[in-house]
Amino acid sequence: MNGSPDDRRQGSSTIVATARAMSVRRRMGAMVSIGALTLVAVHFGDGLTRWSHAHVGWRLGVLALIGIGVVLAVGAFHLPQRLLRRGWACFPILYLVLVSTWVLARSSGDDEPSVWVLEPAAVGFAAVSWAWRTAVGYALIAAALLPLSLFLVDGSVDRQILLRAIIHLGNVAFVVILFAIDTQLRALRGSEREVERNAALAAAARSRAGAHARLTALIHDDVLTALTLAMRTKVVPESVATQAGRALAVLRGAVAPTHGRPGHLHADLGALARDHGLQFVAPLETTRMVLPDQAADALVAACAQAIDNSLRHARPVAGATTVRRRLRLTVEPGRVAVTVEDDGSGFDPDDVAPDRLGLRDSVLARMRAVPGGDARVRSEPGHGAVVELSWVGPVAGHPGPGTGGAAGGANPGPHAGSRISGLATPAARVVLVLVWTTGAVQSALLWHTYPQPAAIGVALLVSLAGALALSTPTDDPLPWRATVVAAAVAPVNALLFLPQLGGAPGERAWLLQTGAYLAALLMVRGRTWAGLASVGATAAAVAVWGGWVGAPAATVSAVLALPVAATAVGLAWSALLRRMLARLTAHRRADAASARALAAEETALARTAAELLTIAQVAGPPLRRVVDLAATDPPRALTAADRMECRIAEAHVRDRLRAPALARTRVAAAVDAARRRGVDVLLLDDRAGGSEPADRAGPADPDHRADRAGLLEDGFTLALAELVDAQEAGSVTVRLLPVGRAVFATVLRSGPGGDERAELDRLGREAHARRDSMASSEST
Amino acid sequence: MTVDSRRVDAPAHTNTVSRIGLVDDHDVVGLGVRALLTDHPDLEFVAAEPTVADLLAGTADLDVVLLDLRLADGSSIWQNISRLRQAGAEVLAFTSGDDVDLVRAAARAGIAGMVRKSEDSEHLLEALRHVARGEVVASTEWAAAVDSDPHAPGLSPRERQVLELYASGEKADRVARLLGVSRETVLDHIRRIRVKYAAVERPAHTKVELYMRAVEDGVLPGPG
Repeated sequence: MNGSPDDRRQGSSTIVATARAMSVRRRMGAMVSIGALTLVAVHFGDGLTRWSHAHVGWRLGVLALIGIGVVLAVGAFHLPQRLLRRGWACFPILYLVLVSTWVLARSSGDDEPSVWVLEPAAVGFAAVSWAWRTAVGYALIAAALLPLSLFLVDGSVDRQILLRAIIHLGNVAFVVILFAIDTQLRALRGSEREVERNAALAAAARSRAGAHARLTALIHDDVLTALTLAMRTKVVPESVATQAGRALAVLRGAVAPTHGRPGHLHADLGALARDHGLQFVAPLETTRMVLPDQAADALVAACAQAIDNSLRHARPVAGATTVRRRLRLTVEPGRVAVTVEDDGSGFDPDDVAPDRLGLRDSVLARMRAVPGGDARVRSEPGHGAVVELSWVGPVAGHPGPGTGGAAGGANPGPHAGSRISGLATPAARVVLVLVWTTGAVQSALLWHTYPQPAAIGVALLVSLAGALALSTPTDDPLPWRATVVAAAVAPVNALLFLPQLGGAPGERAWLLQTGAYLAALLMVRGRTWAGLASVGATAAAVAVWGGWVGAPAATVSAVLALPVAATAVGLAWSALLRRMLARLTAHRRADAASARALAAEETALARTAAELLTIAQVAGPPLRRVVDLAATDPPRALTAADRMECRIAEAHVRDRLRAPALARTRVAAAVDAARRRGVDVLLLDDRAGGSEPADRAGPADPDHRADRAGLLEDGFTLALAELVDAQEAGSVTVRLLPVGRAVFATVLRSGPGGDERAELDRLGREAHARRDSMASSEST
Repeated sequence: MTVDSRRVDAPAHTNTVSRIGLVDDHDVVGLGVRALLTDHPDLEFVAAEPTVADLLAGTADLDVVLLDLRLADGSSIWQNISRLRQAGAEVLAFTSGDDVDLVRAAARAGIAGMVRKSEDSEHLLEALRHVARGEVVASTEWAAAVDSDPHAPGLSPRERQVLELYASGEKADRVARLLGVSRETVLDHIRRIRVKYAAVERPAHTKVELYMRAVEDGVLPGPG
């Protein structure tokens, strides 16, 4: 490592990204080099050694080409990247020189240049060295060059050379597949960055939720303490008034200060969309939604900024004439989101122009200025942009508390998908069909040489089906049904094709080769065993055929050479890609976890915010009364009614902590009335049992737990309310038992008349009741 | 609800003055407790401090410490209770009505009992006296929190029954009669439950347990 001082000054993230980019390029080069080495090894015994009569200079050139291939393969993971790049570019150029000069260097006995068998490797190296257009052009020229040079020198082209040149056109497939893999790997890098960002966001949300939960706990404590002190005093001492004032202040500070008008946000955003010609999508309930002015204003301002940015910078992508823009308003319990989407030219969110603040930073700053506000920008060049603005907090006018939001889910960001083999793309399918077409043309030209052309027709159709199945546009690994079809091609073709062969297959081996190619690509698509089985079955068929017709060993091995070579390349490629796939899968999982954590924490934040609002509504008035009475001169005493209000509020806040589900039903009214009669009521809800890990549910989330434990049946709340109503004095203890106990709830009523214990089922039916006289319940 | 009906007797102690401390970050609570104890010479109010460290820095000679489970200093329940118990004091949780996880964390750390701040003064006085005598103040909230803990240590079926009845608000006499055993047997059960729950090593085999340990240790914020 000897980077310049400038290089070293760069941030670590840049260095990491560069390292990853290098590794992608190196990996692609390694894949091609391994393929080249396999070709050299397979053909060293036949094609490549048939150059003994050619000009010595040309022979040295072929040796140099083979040498470069070997060095590139051996040093694929160790040689310096710069040297590798030169080697990759050298190979296709030298190859082209050798093919074009063969006409002049050949001896009379040579019928084709031995180096021709290395053309797939040359095309592959062209693909890793140059832009895709250049590489495709190179593949076409390389295929046409030999017939062309022969035509120019001899004035005619041998039919066999022409037939083979057609097949060589199929090498374009390598360019497409390699570029598809490259695209996937680049997308993977993009998604890695996204994953890192999301993990950071999730961590930030977690710490915010944690801080908020701690704050909520302390507010609970402050409020309960103030109420407890107040309900015991008549003339309010200054210390108690101070405590009450402090509790009021924290409640004021924690709860969003102002509340806006219903539908305010909907109307403003609608106007914004109209003014700028955006499509506006919003569910009906948002027309009644109420959220604090401060939050609504921030959302509208940030949204206007995002729209302005899109209008100024988003250009139509290639093939489109306009940019479509959409403004979307969504609401879920405790969370409002506004998204500005366009399908324009997109940009790199990390790319901040030096003279201005990046869109993300400025929008984010605007949203973060509001408690509960957040913003996210997702875009990549050529794939549009999405700006999501959100606010978490109490939203009124939205139907039902619901439990939505916490489920989370995978981030819909620009993810690569595990189509890393590059074979699930439309381009790959087109190219596979193109390759098939070249084979079909060649077979048609050789039609008359087959004893049963119908069988060859069937084999061609089977091959087409296999090519289509192999390029099924789904994530890797390939689905099983498509796998079976693609794997069947090689053995089926062998069965159909081999009986047609009298002797050596020669240029007619295409049908066997295409089956082997498909088997190899099957391995690349993550179905290694299916590919091996396919090749194995084919090899067995060839061996049986060889024995049957008594074919010479050389012919059998020539027929087997290509399937074996294809298998070797397929195995090597799939091994290289599998590691990338594992990384991608791990990232996807991490990202989904981040998204879930994010959603869970946002829900937790919303719940704590809603909880604080309720506490403010319950505890605010009595606390205010305490402060006001203490402020009069001389200080006035709290009346019995004032103290009762403090007692009721204290108990209610406690109920919300320990039995939130009960505090929300009609039982609450009965309990309230009983407490006003002087009955001491304790509500406990233990249905949900244990606590949840922080990444699964909000830590400050008793509400959520109760929701999960199930809502209470009307019959139960009715029965419970009746029992509480019937109690005139003493105490009532209500406990909902942990799930799985024989009894759903117990109600213990202690009064002057004795103790009465009722055990209720889920529907409020009394399972068991016991009554004791007062004397027997006397304690020690 | 009277505390004495829930107390669990221990062998008789000598009748001396008990030294009481308080850890609460609301000064006014300290003022109230100090005022309350002035009229009770058997309970000597030593000090009220906002943190355990401050209290122990002043004096380590304490019999019972009233501990607020929610402290603004971010200290963990486990550490607070452990330090107080190591200093030789019994801990009575003095809560304002807390989340079940906090109560469990306190029970696991070995508190001698719980009193809610909003309960009558008489409750507090009696609870302090019981704890000073080495008894357990098994409140309904304490029993409910322990009983509903899915990760509770292995209790015998009888102990589970006793715990469940306590958690429903029952008192020792009634529990004894409902189960057809003597009152002393019931109190023995409660004592054993407290010891089992507190003495258990703090294992963390699962994610849930890890989370709970983290809450107890103050690594993660406690539930609301």
